Amino acid sequence: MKNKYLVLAGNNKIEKGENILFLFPLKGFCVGMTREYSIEEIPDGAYVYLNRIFDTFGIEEFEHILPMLEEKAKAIVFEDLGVLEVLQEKKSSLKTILYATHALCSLSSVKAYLNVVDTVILSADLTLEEVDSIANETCVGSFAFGLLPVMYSRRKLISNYAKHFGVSVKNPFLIEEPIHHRKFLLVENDYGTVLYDYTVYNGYELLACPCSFYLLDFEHIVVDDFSLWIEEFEAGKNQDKSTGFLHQETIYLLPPKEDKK
Amino acid sequence: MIELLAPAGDLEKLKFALLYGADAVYIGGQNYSLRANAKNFSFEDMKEGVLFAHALHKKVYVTVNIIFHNKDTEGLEEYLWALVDIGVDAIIASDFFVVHLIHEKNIPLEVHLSTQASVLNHKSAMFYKKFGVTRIVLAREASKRDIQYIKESTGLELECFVHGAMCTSISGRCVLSNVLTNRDANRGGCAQICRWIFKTDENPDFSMTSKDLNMVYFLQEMIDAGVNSFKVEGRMRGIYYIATVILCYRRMLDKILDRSLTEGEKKYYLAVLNRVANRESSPQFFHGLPSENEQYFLGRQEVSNQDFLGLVLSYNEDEKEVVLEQRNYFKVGDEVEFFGPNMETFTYTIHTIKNENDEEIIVANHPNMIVKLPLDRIVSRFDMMRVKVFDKQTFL
Repeated sequence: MKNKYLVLAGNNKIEKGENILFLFPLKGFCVGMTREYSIEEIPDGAYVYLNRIFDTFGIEEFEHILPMLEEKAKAIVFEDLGVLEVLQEKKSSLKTILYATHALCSLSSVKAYLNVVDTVILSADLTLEEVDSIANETCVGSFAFGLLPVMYSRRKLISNYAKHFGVSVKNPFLIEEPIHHRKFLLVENDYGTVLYDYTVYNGYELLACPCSFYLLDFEHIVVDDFSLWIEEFEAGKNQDKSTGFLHQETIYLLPPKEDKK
Repeated sequence: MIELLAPAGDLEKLKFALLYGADAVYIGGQNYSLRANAKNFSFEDMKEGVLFAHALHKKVYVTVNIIFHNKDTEGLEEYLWALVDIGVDAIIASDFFVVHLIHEKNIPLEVHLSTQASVLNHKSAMFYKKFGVTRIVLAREASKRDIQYIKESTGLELECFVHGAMCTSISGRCVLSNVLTNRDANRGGCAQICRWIFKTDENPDFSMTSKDLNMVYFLQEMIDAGVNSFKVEGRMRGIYYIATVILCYRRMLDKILDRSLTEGEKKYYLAVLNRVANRESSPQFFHGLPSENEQYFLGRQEVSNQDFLGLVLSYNEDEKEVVLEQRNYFKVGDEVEFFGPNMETFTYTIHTIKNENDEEIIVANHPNMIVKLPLDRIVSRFDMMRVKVFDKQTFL
């Protein structure tokens, strides 16, 4: 195994492997997960994941459980900068990894954040060239496999839909956009709903970039053996998946109306 | 400090927003703004807008609120210094890079943190305060309790949306547009995919469209919770929408501050606001999680508003005649009303219409045609004529 991996295992069986660290979504502090772990369930020295945007209750609850978390965890991956503020105030020794899902897109942003956290995981909205240029100058991680989270709503979108139509709906729930025939998976809990692009993202090509580590997300994907899967991933197998934005730079300025034809 | 903050997509809208009662406007430049496809402001427009605002003792904030990619960062520092030279009162930033750059380089710009940064708790607000941020535009998901707690814990100025469209997502936490249309939502290209219809395997079509936000009934509670700036959404909206919404909130805030706002007036202003909007609205997250009633389930449901009949260009006191630029069809016999920032709204029945050549006509049916109406009451440039939609007295 050539690279270092941070793995969200979902409901798959966790088996340790060389260069694999598992990321444990903390129960009550995450959205969009199928499997979360209470503090008691988290193994010593674990990397813990908190991806909620916290309201007042949420950040107070985090402050409350931090001493217990520090006894178990080695590092914390988070999105809300309030978490960092709490860690700094408490002079926590936890390693800090910022994963601002859609807000870490430039070398300048990464450099700014590296003044305040130990490392970051780049947004998955970047091209291969952008990731390469950032990874060449900084120590960063990159999202390399899984379902891309494309939207985080505070609303309970599945429950609201079910109530409105008076139907029983599964959670997670699959929807399809009828023009492009693209499917999205909705996952809801008390803290909101996450929409995932149901086309599996395979960022195998990112392994050519000098990233410090790669995030692999099996929250909604079944795998038998992580070590074997990663061997195949590094060998470039299973590439019949989406490459996301790696070769597709997004635009934001529309052509003038007369040119639209 | 209580501030009414209006959107302004261009210089004309800036002037209308300020004249109709906004204390400040937020605008976008040609770069780095989340309404990339609005007309936006050149540096020359910005200078004129700032001069106009400052002459009225009002303020201009400039959005620099995209999430930067590598190629966007070039020229940012020069751009920020240009904003300093122009004399803008603050910038609204989202990317921590911008906040950090201004702090590190001591660029003399006040920084307001954009709602795109999704601040919902006091610890997050404190993080940004350490880097010089003076105001937080809270995420629209902030509850009254969140607002109170953040205010008490940080002392920062707080800005909250009171009116306009809502993202289905926590603002900034969405790339649906990127995935389906390749348009980057976090750089101003959002295609509003959350307003589309989706198919399901067995159940009815799925939609997650949010109704709009309005806080008419909760302005006093917002003031009590510590909100300083009351923000209206809509840099892509036209002058009629801006004038109507800003005037309603101006009058409500003023009456709240002198403790004279009645329940009847709230009902009246809500009716006017609902009429000018093209979607239904609700207070959304202020008192808790929105239910299914705060969403649409059949996708985009919008009604085009054609109440704006004419813009007052001038008034001839000798002739007792108003000159209007037509905006929507009207005819002799119609009951209309005039409204403006320095007058009480009044009703008027059209008995005569003259065209530019003083010829009597029956209908005003050409967009932007110049027409003249006899009018005893004095009106001013920038006042507007609209369909008579409500009789205020019936609400009081």
